[in-house]
Amino acid sequence: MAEKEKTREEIVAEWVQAEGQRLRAERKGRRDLKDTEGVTINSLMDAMTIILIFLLMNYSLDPIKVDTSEDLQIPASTTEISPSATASVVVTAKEIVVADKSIVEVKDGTVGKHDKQSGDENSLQIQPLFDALTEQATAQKEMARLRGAKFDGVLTVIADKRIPYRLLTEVLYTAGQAEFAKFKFAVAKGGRRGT
Amino acid sequence: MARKKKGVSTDVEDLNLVPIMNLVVCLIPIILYGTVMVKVGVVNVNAPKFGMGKATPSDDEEKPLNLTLGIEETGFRLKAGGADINQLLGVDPAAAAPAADPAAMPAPGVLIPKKGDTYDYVELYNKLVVIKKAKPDESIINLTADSKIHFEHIIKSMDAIRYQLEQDSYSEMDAYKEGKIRKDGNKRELLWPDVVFAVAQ
Repeated sequence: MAEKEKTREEIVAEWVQAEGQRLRAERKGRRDLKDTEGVTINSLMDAMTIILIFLLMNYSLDPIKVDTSEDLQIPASTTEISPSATASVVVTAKEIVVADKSIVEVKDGTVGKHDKQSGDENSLQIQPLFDALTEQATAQKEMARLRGAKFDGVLTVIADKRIPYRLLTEVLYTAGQAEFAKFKFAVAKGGRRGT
Repeated sequence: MARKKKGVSTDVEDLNLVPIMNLVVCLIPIILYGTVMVKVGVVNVNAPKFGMGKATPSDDEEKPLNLTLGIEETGFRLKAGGADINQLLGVDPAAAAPAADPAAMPAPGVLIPKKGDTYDYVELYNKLVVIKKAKPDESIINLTADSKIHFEHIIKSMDAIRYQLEQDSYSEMDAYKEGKIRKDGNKRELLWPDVVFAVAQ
């Protein structure tokens, strides 16, 4: 009987010990888990903050945005003049874009003769571009009239650095016909002279 | 005697960063959209002039210089409608524009040949400074190029002709590259700032 009671005490003591160990292990486990979670979120938070600051430093309020790609690499220049809000035309190696709409296809630095005025290959006027720019000029004139200002006829040309002079002059001539008289070429700031 | 109760945790609860994280994760794409990796600037040019008409003969002594920079496959060519460019630059006409065929008429103007595969921007700058000194009141330069010349070369040439650098003449490309724009107070000194595009039709 004494042996039996001792056994019960032993059982109780073992149970208490085991339970104590289990609780301790559980508590330790919870603490470990909590520590791990904290470390992960802190690191992530640090990374996010750094990214946020970097992006804020490069945040641009410029009215002209250039999405450079394989077909549109603007030339570098030493200029320090910032762009202003004007109508713009984008000339890439593959197309001419006005107001986010592809207007004319460009192949090997030239526009097909069917896109030229009267289908004449030697003409400087690109007809679909003329129509699109005339529309832009009309909209700008209307906006200027509502503001009580004068239509300044400024066009920003965002062109790929590899386009030939002939295509550039065709674009400028066409813009001139659509009543744009002043031009700004978009360039990448920070270029070095002669390189 | 107040005693600290045993077993009471004194640890400060960690901040709940999850809402901040959510905010940051939302902010990043919004800012990313407005972020530019390339800082854009602009170069101003005047409306193109199409067809180079002959200057009307006049008895006036002060004819406009009508300086023209042509970008050719072989190099730069400087021409002036209103003055003898060779005389302005003080060069021998035969040496300035050597013709490939001696029997043929030499091309007008002064040729600044390429150095290897690259255009000689240093010599172009040097010559334009000499012309500017001879004609300080002139500021207009016509720019024309062969039809296949890339836009990149046109911008580089415009960089070379717009501003007066600290020195009037450079012999080394490195010194030219490092040369700073001459300033009069806060104003940058201009060389040939009014660039007009020209195309011979």
